[in-house]
Amino acid sequence: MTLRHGALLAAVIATSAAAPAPLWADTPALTVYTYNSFVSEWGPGPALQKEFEQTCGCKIEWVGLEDGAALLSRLKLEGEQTDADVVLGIDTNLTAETKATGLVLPHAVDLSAVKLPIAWDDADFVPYDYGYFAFVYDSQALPKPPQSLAELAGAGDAPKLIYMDPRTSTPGLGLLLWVKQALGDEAAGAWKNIAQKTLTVTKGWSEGYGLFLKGEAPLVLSYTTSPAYHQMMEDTDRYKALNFAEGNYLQVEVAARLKTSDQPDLAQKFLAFLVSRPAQEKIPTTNWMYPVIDLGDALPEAFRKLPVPAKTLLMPQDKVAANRGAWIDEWLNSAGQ
Amino acid sequence: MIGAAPRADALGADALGGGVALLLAALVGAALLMLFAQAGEAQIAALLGGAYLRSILRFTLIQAVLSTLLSVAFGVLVARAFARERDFPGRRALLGLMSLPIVLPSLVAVFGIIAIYGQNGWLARALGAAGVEARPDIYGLGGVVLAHVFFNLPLAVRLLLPGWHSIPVETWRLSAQLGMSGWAVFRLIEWPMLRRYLPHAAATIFMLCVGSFAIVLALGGGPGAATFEVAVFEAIRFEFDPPKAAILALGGLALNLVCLALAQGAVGDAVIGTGWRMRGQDWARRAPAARLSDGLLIGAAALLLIAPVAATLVDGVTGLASAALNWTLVARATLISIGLALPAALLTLLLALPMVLAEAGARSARPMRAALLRGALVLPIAVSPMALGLGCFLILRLTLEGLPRAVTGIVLLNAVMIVPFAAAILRPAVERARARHDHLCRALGITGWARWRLIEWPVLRPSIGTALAMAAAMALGDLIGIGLFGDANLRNLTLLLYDQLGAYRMGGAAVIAALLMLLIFALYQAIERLVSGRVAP
Repeated sequence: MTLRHGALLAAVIATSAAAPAPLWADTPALTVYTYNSFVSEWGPGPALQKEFEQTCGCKIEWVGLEDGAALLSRLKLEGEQTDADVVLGIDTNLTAETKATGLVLPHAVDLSAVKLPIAWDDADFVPYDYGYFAFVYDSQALPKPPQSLAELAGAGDAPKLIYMDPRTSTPGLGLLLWVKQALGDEAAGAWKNIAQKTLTVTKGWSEGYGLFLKGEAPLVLSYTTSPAYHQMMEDTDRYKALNFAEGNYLQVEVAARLKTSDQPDLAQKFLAFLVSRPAQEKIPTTNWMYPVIDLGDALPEAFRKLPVPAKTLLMPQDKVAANRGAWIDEWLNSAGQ
Repeated sequence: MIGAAPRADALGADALGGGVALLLAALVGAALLMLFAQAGEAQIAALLGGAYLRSILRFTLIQAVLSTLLSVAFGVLVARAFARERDFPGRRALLGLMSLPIVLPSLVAVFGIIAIYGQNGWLARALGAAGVEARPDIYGLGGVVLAHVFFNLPLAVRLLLPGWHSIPVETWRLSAQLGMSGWAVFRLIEWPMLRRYLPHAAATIFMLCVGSFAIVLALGGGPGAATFEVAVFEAIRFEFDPPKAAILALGGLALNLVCLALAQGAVGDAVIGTGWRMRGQDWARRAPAARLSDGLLIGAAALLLIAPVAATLVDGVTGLASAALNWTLVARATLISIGLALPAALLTLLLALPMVLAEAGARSARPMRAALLRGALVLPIAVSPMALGLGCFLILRLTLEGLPRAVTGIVLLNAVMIVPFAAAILRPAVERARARHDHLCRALGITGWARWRLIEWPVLRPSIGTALAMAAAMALGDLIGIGLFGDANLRNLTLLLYDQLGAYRMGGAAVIAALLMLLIFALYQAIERLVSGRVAP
């Protein structure tokens, strides 16, 4: 990656030396559709933009949408007329749908440095971070948290938990698939029991995690990496994530370039930049997810100390796409009564 | 000869109002058509026959009916107390606060409510300190209804208070001379007035509760507590099926139109008072018991209202310690919020006023036309906000792009969605003005601009001020518009709030929530004072 980068830099310097660009020159703009928190002041966006624009001779124009699902939905609406050169922020549960739009151009990025809990040989999507869904608990309110999904879905009405609606949120959908993959035919019964312990089901992660931090319930659906935020920014290890005996469900966030783009090369460079070391180093403390390459000691200690789930769960894409509706119905019928 | 000029004038005003109504209806219709034009596989029969839709419809109706009944019943009592107690200290500030809940971003309101009634809220902690075991449990139907009453009771008060103001002072004098009992006053004076004002206030609140969404999920306590809007959202966001969303939106619209027709049918034909305000009425001489109950009602409403607001402010101050905010960014977002809200408010007024004037003009002679205008005026809240927003996005996408599209879209969408509220504030004043001055103007041949400048504007000015203030405050809390049209350079305060929440930063989010609340309140007060020119009713 570094080599490629150096070459790019040299090329940029050479061109600008040969023909110094006048100020009014048309700097190419790379339009990137992403979700809002990626481009917020605290997200990775600003730092990545600064880094990339130093070498690309271009300008990144972000378009922020609510979340990954909103991103895909916008892409479907705009179809061939989309302004996007790159979409960034689709998660593994939506890649099949995204590919089905027929808009994705294979990335042509060398992903040999990428290290994920699963093998990654996807020619269309470039992963830029990942995490495991997990229930995060408040160790002050809950001294003995459940150790498995089966225990969480056991009888009784405590401890209370908060999760997100799979109809409206990505983590919510993740939990639905997690329960289905781990418990199979027992999923319906599990949801019946979980319903007894459910404080509430929120529209999105922000509301749910906010309620949790306000002390409304001791357990909330989030990520195994969430405690790293509290350790690094708030210097507390009060909030911990649970690695369940059945394993935790994986979420990989990906980016792709689009066929309709008029600058596929620039888009390709951006995707390559995403998995480069300078970009990956910024991911952990801005998006609070794991980087996709081995950063060694550059990975903050709080991340290195996080317990890693013993088993990684992830459903095949086509199975998710084919069954999403049926499983949501099952959840509604079990948990919604 | 005298008759000719006014008729031409009336025709002009009618045509303008009718034109705007057609435009508004066309926009809503086109928005839904745009959704239908997208690819999708909605199967109407399967959809309408499904158990899922039936259960979602059931919960939508139950919570909306309960929320509406409670908001309106409590609203009648509180509005009546406000109408009678005309000069207690803080009355104006309290009425100003009444406009706050309805304009708050839903997440701010949810956190405010949780701060009071939640498992770890003020109430729970007070109970704990008092050694009581029981804890409030607001998650479920109760919490949803509580939140909706928090939002809509103040709205009900605002919509009903003009009703009391419309009762002429002669009526009150007469009732006093006749020594009418409280019950007789209610039956003979207040009830006929209420039959005029209540149905539409109730219908407005009902429609808002039907369209409610994030609050219902957050406080509903489980997947069973979901409204129609959840299904619309799901169809758009996860099923990528805009036509299905459009069909669902039409279903919601049908439900709302039935409700509206019921309301229209229930409207009584009370004569609009042509006398003057009840300024001379000396309510202070009433029996102490009546005054006490008024005081208690106002106190209870104030508590319901102020507690979550106060909790939000307290959280904001506490959050300052851990917020680490970039104040340049906050200032920028504040300016963007205001810069988008003011044009939206102005556009709302330009849309609502001609329609309300035309509706008032048609009321006695052409009731059908008036009813149609009235329907057009509430159309924006009778349609699913998600579907309307997405449809507008698809329309604007045809002609605009980039920043111009973002600004136009946000301003237009907000303006349109606020029209029903502005109309509800303007209508009583317009009707009163008409009842009082129409004959005189016709007799004197005062028409057109002269009539507007000499007669209408002085009378309508306070209400126009209130409507503008409310519209600006509502637009300030915009999230749907900025979410749909936003581009990275256009981040308003609401978005900044969500950005912080999305990045674990509760402290910063609390600060922004408090700031947003203060800003909404300040902007409301400033506009109302500036435009109204004097204390508005």
